[in-house]
This record gives sequence, structure tokens and C-alpha cells, in this order.
Amino acid sequence: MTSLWQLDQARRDALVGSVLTGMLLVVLTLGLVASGDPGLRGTAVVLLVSVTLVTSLQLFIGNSGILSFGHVAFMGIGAYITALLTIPLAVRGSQLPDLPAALAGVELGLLPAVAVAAAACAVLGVVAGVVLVRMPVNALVMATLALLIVAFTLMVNWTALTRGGQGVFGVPRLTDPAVALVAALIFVFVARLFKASGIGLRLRATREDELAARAAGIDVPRVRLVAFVLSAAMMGAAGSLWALNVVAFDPGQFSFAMTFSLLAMLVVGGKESVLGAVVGAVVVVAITELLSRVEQGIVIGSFELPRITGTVQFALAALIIIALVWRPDGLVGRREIEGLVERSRVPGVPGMRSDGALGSVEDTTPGDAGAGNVVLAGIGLRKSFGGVHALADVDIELRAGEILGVIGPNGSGKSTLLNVLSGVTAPDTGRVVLRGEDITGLPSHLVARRGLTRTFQNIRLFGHLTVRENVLAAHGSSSVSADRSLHALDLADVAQREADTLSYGRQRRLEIARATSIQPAVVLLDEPAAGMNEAESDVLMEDIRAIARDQRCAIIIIDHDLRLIMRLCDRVQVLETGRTLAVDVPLAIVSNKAVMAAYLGDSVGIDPEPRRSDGGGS
Amino acid sequence: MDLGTLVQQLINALSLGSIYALLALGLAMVYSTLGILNFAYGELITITGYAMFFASEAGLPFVAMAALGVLAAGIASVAMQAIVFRPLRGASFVTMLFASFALSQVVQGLFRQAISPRSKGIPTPPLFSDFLTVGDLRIGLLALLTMGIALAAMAILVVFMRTSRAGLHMRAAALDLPTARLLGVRANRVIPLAFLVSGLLAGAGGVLWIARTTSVSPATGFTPILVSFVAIVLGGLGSIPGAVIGAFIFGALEILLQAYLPGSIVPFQFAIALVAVAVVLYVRPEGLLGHRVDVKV
Repeated sequence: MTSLWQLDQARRDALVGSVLTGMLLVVLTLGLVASGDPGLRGTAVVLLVSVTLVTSLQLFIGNSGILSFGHVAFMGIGAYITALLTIPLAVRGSQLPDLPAALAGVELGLLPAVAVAAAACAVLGVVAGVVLVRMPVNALVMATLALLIVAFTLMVNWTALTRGGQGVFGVPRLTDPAVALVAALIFVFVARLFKASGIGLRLRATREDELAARAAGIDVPRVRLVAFVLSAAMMGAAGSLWALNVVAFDPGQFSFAMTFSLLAMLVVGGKESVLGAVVGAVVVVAITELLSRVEQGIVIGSFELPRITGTVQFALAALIIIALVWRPDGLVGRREIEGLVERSRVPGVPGMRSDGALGSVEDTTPGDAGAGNVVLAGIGLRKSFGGVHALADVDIELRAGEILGVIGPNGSGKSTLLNVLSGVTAPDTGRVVLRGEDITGLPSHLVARRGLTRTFQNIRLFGHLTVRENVLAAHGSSSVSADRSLHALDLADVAQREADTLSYGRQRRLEIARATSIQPAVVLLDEPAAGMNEAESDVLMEDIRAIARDQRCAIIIIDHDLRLIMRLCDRVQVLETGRTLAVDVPLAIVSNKAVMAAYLGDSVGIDPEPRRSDGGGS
Repeated sequence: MDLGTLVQQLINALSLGSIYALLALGLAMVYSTLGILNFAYGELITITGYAMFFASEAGLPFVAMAALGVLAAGIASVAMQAIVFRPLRGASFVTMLFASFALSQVVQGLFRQAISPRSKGIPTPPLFSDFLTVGDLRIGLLALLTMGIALAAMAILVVFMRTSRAGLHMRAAALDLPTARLLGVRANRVIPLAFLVSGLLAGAGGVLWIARTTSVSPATGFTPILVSFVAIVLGGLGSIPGAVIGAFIFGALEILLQAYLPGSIVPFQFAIALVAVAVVLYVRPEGLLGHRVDVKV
């Protein structure tokens, strides 16, 4: 079945991409090891360990769009745990005489050590994560720095475990090129699989537009937390492998310089792509290794260059700034390797037939037995901003299967009403009842999950995701329902295009597709026809009707296009200065004197022609 | 605990807090006006330190050293804007943060290469280590001076922002830069101005910081930037009074822990203070004075 194949497409891509990226790493490793030069063999291990580190970081930063300065803390913790578990007991006792008995007698091998490091960092990741993910994004970024400082302070001062600034030594060198290669391949695979997974997709949606993600039912802190913990665990495992290669280390190695070089890899390669992370690692490791050789001093003929230090830092800084100015998305951009290899697939629409071959879908909408039942009610809603009563006292009732229009001059409270109904803002007083359940004050992702979705006046799509991903990201959306929604809004032919590249009218349609794909009981449309010409809005009107009919959902629609409202809606509610002026069938509204006076000015009658869509705030 | 010690600790806390407040203010100014978090802000304090170091090598008195330090930070801040942020104008928050992170590394590297990785001592007037004795209270003169200067600097800032035309432009830009531009506020003026004010505040805070630590090294900027981050996040990102309050609270927390923690735990005081802040942020993720940003939809 088309859609099933589609569902697997993302995972197939992840698999193919991992294999291709892996081949790249295998070739590089073989090349470096086969050279016979022990220095290059060492470089191979450094590169592969860097790949594990940077893919761990990419998993969080790339998918969430949230920068973290703190992940190196997990690397350091993983490294120290590994040291404490693997340093031969004879060496360990003399080095760390004050070790607790539990640690003084255990000596683990590679796999158990890595596993313990990962598990410990997962636990710490949960502890740090629950604080971090609740914060506003920019504050979160700043707070990650504190994570690094706390870890660093512990490493320096908890001398019984770490020997403080002196560092530890004698960690067995268990990370040979083969181990490092296998680890790097696993990390790449995990990163790709996560990105393709449902939770990875939803996380990427929050990266593109947090508010829209919430309105699509996504629990933003939760998806961030999952990624944070997974990435912390990976970072711990990677730190473990790192320690098992460098053998001796001290807290200073888990400072800004390390953070900086890992971030440089991400920026240079492309932070939103796993391939980008790998390419970035290759570039940065190559530069670092080259320059550190230069720093050893170069002799040209009889002239000896003075030894210089710190060139790596300069080079990486220059690299980051150049990359940001010239290629803000990194060398690879947002693409993955299979996208580069299979060029032919990009503009086409694989697997997606536009012939409407999809069967109709079973009706999963909970029965709101019989038309006429109230599915959504707002009772006595009030909302003030400063001294402005955006909603002074509004009641609203939406019945099953009904399309209710809400009109009113700019500033009459239409958008505020939608925000209050959909949980974007809580009302000051009043209640919102959805299918018999009081949802007042419920956050918008929970409102969405209870069957109320919405679109936004100023289009809010997940710009860098494909059209199909935009719909699939909605909580409760399935491959089948997504394809059906795309068909219903005539978007099937562009399913694989980035949402950003669509025309304005189709972007509006995509928002509606996203809102309706989870088979909601109620959909709120905020100026869906804004900016459309008459022909476009006619087609849209038919589509909205069809959705209401086929999915048996009730719709509230705000628009300035009175022609559309009057022809589409079963009833129309008129707002003025935060109060309801009239609620009635369209014909009665047209002949209502008070409405005429308030809405169009005294002298004007209703003009069935479209009004200028001003698209301005309301 | 006797009253005398309490008063002394209180003054220490206010003194440290007022340095932190100046530092956090400078960072918060640029964030509030332009939405940019300048990671290289800490390096402005380093630059202040080196300017003071060279001034003292040249035999200048402390007042001149301080003036040059403040000036250097102001100029450096404007230069950072022109060299790094200007070419990236319109880029995302994350891009700007990356760029300024790179910039901070370049500046640190430059000082390491050009001067020395080690710290340089900066002489301060003997007056600074004097004590004022009131009854059986001994109050450090430096602490009093620090508070006085920091309060004066903040007062000047408030007067500038409230009464001058340039201050009005900056406040307008902070509320809504695109609209302010439509109403005739020139971005090419208000942005460098915001960086200048930010740099001068960094310089003022930097002089006080250096007077307290009496040395400068390429890594000098680290604690100031970290503390500013913490203060701003604790106070509520985007709120200027929040930044000041966050700074005073963090300063007080640090002094308190220093004074009353058992000796063996004192080295962990910074980590403990950060964990305490994390607990506050768990309860109020948006910070003390912050509020959930209501996105216009």
C-alpha cells in the first residue's frame, strides 16, 4: 500500500543513509590505518571518537534547534566513570587512595564500562533535563552553560574520585580503530533513526515553530526531554570511548575548548544533518591534527619557524565565522547523504500518486450523536490585555457538523476568542467546554489532543520540513490520515517539497491539512482565505465544506471575506469591541441593522462581493 | 551570629551584587534591544583588564587606568558589532550566539598569543584595602566604593534612558525594533549605540571586578559572562530590572555560601549556588520577573 511504503520511507532513508555515511567512515578509517603510520592510525581513532561525540550533540541541537554548551559535562562524567571502573586495580589504589570501597574493587571491560557511563549520564540527563526543558528556549541555552560549570567544579574539587586538577591516568587503551569504527557506525545509525522517528519529527517541528507545534498537539517539553536524555546518554558513552583512547586526562579537557571544537564541527558541517556532523568532524579533526603538527615547529631548510600555540583555536573560530557568513547551514546544509546521492528523487514525488488511490478511511471521530448537539461552548469569556477588554463577555456555541462564521471589525476580539478557545491564552474568567469536558486553561497541546485544532492568521508552518512531514508531525496523525488530508486539500503532488517553498495559497491549505489530519471534532480557521483571490477562495470554500462533511467536524471560521463567510457558514456570530452583537443565519445577519451600522458603517449595505482582505492584525 | 558579622556580610553581598548587576545590565541591554546574546561580552571585561594593565605599566594613576578601561570596553563592544554582528544582521539568535562564541575564542586566543597565557597583576591604590571602623564594625572601603560607583553608573543609565532622545530611541527599539524603524529610529544608529552602552557598562563593571581580583588573564572574562548569564536567566530573560535583581540575589547567595558553608565544601560553592538557581527555575521556568512570551497570533 502506498502509504505504508511511505511510512517506511523515512526509516528506509535512515537505513540507506546510515549505510552510505558508514561506508564513508569505513573508507576513511581503512585509508588512515592502512597507511601504516601510527600517527595516522591515532588520527583515525580520534576522528571516529569525534564522530560519536558530535552525533550525540547533533541529535539534540540539530533536531531541537537549541544550542547546548553543556553537553561536554556528560562527556566528562562518562570519561571519569569509565576511568574509575577500568583503571587496573593496582594503579587505581595508589592513584586514588580515598575511593569508596564499592569503586575500589571493580574492574570492568569495554562494553560494561561504556554501558554504565551511558546509563549514569541518562539519569543525570533526566535530572538536568526536567529543569531545562521547562524554560523559554533562549534562557535554556544560557542555562546549559551552568551545567558545564557544575560538572567542572565537581571534577576539580571532588578529589577523592578525580584527583582534581592533576587528572587521572592509566585508563586501558581499549578503543582501537575497530572498536571506534563500530561505535561511530552505531552512533550515526541511532542519530539517523531518531531523526526519522515520530518523536524526532515532532522535535524538528518544535524547532521550526514552537507555537504551531503545540497547537498540533505536540508536548514540547516532553519531546525536548526525550532528546536531551538520549543525547546525554550517548555523550556519556562517547566520553567513555574517548577516555579509553586518551588514557590520561584532567578536568581542563572538558572545558570550553572541547565545547568549541564540537560546536565548530556542527556549524561547519551542518547542524541539522547527521552527514553534516560527520563531515564537520572530518574537517575539524583534519585541521586540528595538521595544525598541532605545525605547532610542534616546522623546519624549512635552515630556517626554523618559531613554535606557536593556540593556532587551532584561531582556525576553528575563523572557520565558524566564515561558515556562518557564507554557508549558515553548513557545508552539507540540511541534506542527508541519500539526498545527495539520489538526486533524481528530490523534485519528484516518490510513492505518492496523485490519482486519489487512497481508500477512504474508517471514521474514528467519536460520535457526537446527531447534528445539533453542542460540541464546543465558550461561556462568559473575558480576556483583557492591560486596560483593553479584548473579550468583554462572549458566549459562543458550536454545534456538531456546523460551520460557524465569526466576523467583526479589527479589534473586535475575533483572534483573542480563537486563542482562548484553543488554549493559546487562558481567559480571565469564563469557561470553555469541549464535548462536555471543561478545557478552560488547558495548554494548547492538550486541547489539540482532545479534538480541537486550529490554523493561524499569520501562517505558521514547519518551514524546513516537507509538506507531508508538516502533517505527520501533528500528534495523532498517521500515515493514512496524513495522506488523506493532503489529498483533501490538493497537496499530494507537492508532498515531498519543503513547506517554505509552497505558494502562499498552498501554505494556507497546508495549515488546514495539518489541523484536520488528526480527525478533530472542532477546527478553528483564522482567516484561511486571507490573501487569496476570488477563484482560490472559491475552491477553498468547497474544500472546507468537504472536510466538514467527510470528517464530520464542526468548524469555526474567521475571515474578512464576507462573501465567503455568508456562503459557507450555517450561522454567523458578529463581534464588536469584545461583545457579541448578533448570532444568526447569514441571511438574517445581512439584514440586521445593528450589524450593518457597527460593521460597515451606517451608510453601507452588505456587499456580497469580497472585501479587501487586509491581512492586518485583528 | 553577631550583628556585626551580619552587617559586614550584607555589605559584601551588596558590593558583589552591584558588580554583577552592572555586568548583567550590559548584556541584558543588547539582548533586550536587539535579541542578541553576545557571548563575547566576557571578553570586554578582559579588554578592560588589559587596558588597565597597560595604563598602569605606563605609570598612569588608577583613575586614569579605570577611565581607559571603561573606554576600551566601549570601543571594543562597538567594534564587535561592526565586525561580527553587522555582517550577520537578520540572522537567527542561534547564529549570532555561535558567531559571538567564536569571537570570544578569537579574542582569548589573541591575548594568549600577544601577551601571555598567565595572569598579570594590576596594582590598586592602597586605599582600597583600607577599612572603615564604626564601633566594632570594620567595613572594607573597596566594598563601599564599589557600591557607590555601581549605583552611580546605574543612575546615569536610568537618566540617559529616560531623558535623552537616544535613550528614547533605544527604549522604542527594545519594545519593537521594526516599528521603531518605521517611525524614524535609525537602526544604524541605535544598534551601535546599544553596543556602546553595553560596552561602557561592561567596562564599569569590569573596572570594579578587576579592582576586586587585582589581576587579568585571557580567561578573565569567564566568570563575568557566566554570572551575567545566570543573573539574567534567574531574573527573567528580557527583563532589565530582572537582570539587576538576579545579579543581587546571585551575589548574595555566593557570599552567604562562602561565609556559612563548612570549609571542606566551600570549593563547591559556585556549583551549589547554580543548583540553587536551578531549583528556582524549576519552579519558575521563566525567571523571577520573566513572563511567558505571548506570541501574537
